Amino acid sequence: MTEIPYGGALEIAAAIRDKRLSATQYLEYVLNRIEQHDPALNSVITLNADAALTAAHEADQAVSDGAVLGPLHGVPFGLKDIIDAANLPTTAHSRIYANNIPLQDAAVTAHLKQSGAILVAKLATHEFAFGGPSFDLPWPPARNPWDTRMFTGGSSSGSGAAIAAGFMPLALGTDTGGSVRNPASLCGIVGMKATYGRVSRRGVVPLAFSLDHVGTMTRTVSDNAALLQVISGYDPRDSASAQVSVPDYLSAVERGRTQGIKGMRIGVIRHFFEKDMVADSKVVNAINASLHVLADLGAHITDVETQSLQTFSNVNRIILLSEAYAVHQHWLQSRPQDYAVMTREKLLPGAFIRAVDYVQALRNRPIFTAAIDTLLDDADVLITASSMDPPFPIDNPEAVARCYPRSARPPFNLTGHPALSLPIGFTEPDEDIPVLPLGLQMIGRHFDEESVYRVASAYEHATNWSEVHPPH
Amino acid sequence: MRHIDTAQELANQLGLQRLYQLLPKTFHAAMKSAAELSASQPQPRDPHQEPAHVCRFDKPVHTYEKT
Repeated sequence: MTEIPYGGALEIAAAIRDKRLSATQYLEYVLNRIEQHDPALNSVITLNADAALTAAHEADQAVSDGAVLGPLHGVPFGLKDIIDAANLPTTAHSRIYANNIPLQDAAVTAHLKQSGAILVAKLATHEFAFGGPSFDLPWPPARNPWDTRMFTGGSSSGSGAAIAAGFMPLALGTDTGGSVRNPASLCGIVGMKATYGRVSRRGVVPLAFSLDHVGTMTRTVSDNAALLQVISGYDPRDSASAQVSVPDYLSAVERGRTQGIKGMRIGVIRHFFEKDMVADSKVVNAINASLHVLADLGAHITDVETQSLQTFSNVNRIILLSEAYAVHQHWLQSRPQDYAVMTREKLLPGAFIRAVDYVQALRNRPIFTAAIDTLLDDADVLITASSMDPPFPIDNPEAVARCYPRSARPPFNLTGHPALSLPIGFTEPDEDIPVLPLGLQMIGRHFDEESVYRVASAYEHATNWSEVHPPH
Repeated sequence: MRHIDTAQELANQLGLQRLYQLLPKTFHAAMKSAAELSASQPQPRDPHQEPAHVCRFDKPVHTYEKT
């Protein structure tokens, strides 16, 4: 097995099933690791140690009893702290929700528990998945394990940090304008936002109803596929849930490894990161190097064009601000002092977007969705940048303010296409700054996460980025 | 300042007086950025161009019960 902290979920589940490792032994290791390293990372809001240990003992007993085991039996997982777990606080990293203790699991939490996975921690976020990183809240912001002076990206900041640090192999985040793919990119892990409607949002604190996605965050593509497999599927109690059958994602990963991607068509939306917004040269060079790897694997690579990145992102932002303001209006009226300054500032423009502008944005949405569908008529997957820049210092407010618009992620919240952030290498060490991770973004047709996983898996298999880990 | 008067008046109308007291400058900047953002998007003119819908009535829309 891979060295324990970075063992994959599937490896760990197999080792527990085969009695080479006990769930309790592994969980104790995980808890010790969190205790030792999280004070520098701040990724954990609530540690679920006692309940997790009880669940691990029960998991070991089930193995001894020869019981039928779920696919993630005994594997620890974490939840961004806007996703409910029964009888644990869901704080949304906010004073407003500091005393919020749900009595029921979110749909995704319930699915994970049914698969045998064990909840070990609720993880840091940006306040209500929107502000941040904020230093004026009861919990400090998470820090990047590659260099704790650096920003994790957000808002699924704790999930990104905890996965990269080897605290657990599986975590869930949420993504309304890129909040899974941003920390995935800056922390050097795999982050998937599946098609809108693929994964239930029930029991997840909303940011913007029509853009919110629950996403999967892992160190490897195969773990990501295994996690999405478990949480996907129709939920009649989520009004946006899609009644579409869920394919076998792990088979797609396996096809990528064994059959490769020869003949698959990849469209590159290059103008997003070379013209509409000029990415850092380290990011551009890493994307180009990745495209060479994919071409060497037999993929047909073609540049494609669509509307400008800013037009997509602005329409996404109008919808996001309008819907988020609707969620937060009553607290902004009655408890504005309880928000972090940054969250108030980010929510406030939503108060001034006119109804007609929101409706126009919703009318633009199918037009933009059709534009991406058209690109995918001639391509199996699309590739573009995720973040335009490598990680940067968390205490630099100008750099933080600059980073959110400098991404190519919001278009795919607007259009609902599945989008995955994939590690593609590292920066060169520079003076006192160590290597920092870089990523790209891969997009598929609606409900075709399989093609994305297949290409991502083939790339991962041809490179060794997922085997490089942060210090400690 | 006229623009501050306007912002304060709007804050009163929106029930955001307390927020305005905390962030008067941000309030004005937020108004400006919202107007700029709205103006930046394409304006569909075809009357048949429908908005994207989430709400459908071929399945129940559940009210979230916080238990």
